[in-house]
Amino acid sequence: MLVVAPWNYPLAIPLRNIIPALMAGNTVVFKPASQALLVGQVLAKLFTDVLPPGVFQLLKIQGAQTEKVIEFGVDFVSFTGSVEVGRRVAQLAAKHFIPHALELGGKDAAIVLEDADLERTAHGIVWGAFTNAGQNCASIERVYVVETIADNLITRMQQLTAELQSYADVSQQNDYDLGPLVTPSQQQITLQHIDDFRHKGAKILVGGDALKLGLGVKPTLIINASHTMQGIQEETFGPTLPVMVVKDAQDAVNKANDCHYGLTTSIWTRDIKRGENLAKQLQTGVVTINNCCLTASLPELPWSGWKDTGYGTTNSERALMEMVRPKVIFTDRYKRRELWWYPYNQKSVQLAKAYLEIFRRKGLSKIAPAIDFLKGMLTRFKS
Amino acid sequence: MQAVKKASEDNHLEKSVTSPKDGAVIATVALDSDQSVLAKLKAAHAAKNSWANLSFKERARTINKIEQLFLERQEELALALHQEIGKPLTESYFSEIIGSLPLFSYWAKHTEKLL
Repeated sequence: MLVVAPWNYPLAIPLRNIIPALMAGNTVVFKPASQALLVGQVLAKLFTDVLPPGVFQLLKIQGAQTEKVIEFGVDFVSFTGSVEVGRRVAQLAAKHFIPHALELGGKDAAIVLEDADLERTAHGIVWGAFTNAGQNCASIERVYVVETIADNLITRMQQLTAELQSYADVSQQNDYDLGPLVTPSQQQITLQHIDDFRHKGAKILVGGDALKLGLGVKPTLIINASHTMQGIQEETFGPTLPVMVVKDAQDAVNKANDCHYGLTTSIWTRDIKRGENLAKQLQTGVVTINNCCLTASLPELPWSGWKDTGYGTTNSERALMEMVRPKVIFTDRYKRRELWWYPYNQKSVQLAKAYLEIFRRKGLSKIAPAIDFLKGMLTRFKS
Repeated sequence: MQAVKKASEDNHLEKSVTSPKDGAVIATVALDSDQSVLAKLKAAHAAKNSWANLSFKERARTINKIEQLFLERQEELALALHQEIGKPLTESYFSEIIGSLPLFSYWAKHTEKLL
């Protein structure tokens, strides 16, 4: 089985696929992202130090070589990454009829209802948007807040966002809240989305620029965003938190579903029952109520998405079933030939009809066709 | 941020790994040539039957050993994440290491039953 892993969670994401694959009896070839080769090497050594030779292979290769690996032949491809590359993997795997699973990101919404616990919600959303500098497939990239609570939520999120420290803000000994973006293109996309927000009339409340050192972007809180803006339509995968005010919960659900991705949604409310009912309307593989970005770490729960998020499952029994082939071994100890074997003639047709008639009729009227059927059997086996 | 070049002697590719925090080169990693990839794929195919024929208990014992190594090497893992992709150390520990920990025991314990 081939595991193609991304650079954003270069330890956790491959482990979610590698461990069940090995337990199911697969050998694994692991292709870490080329931006996370050092992590890939440390991860691989955990396995190669313990497993029998050959069972785990680390491939330090570029994208084009990955295509050759699929062409060479593997039993399954587990791919986590971008939509664009995911589509290429799917086409190549389909060409060779290789089963595959694709997890391709999201544009995940947070829905805040009027009765939300303001402190937990503000802290949760700020973390959900900026953890790993927004480079999380389940990052909160859109907030829909009901108008009655909007001002209070925005004020609190503004305070919390302004307090966040990036790697460039702290001394080397201290940990920071936000690291850099990992690739130059990711930084460019994030800055382009921020520009688009600005030009189309949204307001940047906090952040909005690149850091002076490295590939970082300041954590950026945006209000007055709308669905015409790139940063609402497309995955940003950077530290942006755009907020939109909605009139009610239904409005929020409709707008959350107006998206070509479908990985997770979070709903923030004190009314759990209401949250669970709204969850049923959402077109995402995961809905969390009063939390976010955590269920991928629970191996018993399926992690999968709708629409451009791809298909196939990580975690849970469903993922395990994708990594194995069903094998039926049917042994028959019956000595005679089967009813439906040759020869075919008028009697075999009548026998089939008598059999169906037993099912069609009700109650005692089943007796006549049952007798016909038994007679037919006897005649057939005598002949 | 990463440059790929051909190493002169053995025709293998290598890649310099730079920190996204400041562009500093932190390591050079040798990449696999096509021949090396092919050899690894063949080795993985060759190992399939003997690995698949082990009992679930035997495979689970191996996974448990890997879990122990994972815990022992937590700092090395966290630092690799911190240096190579600039992840905050707190997140390296919580999201990546602690977040992955349940995987070992869950699959070691439940795979046989689920299949």
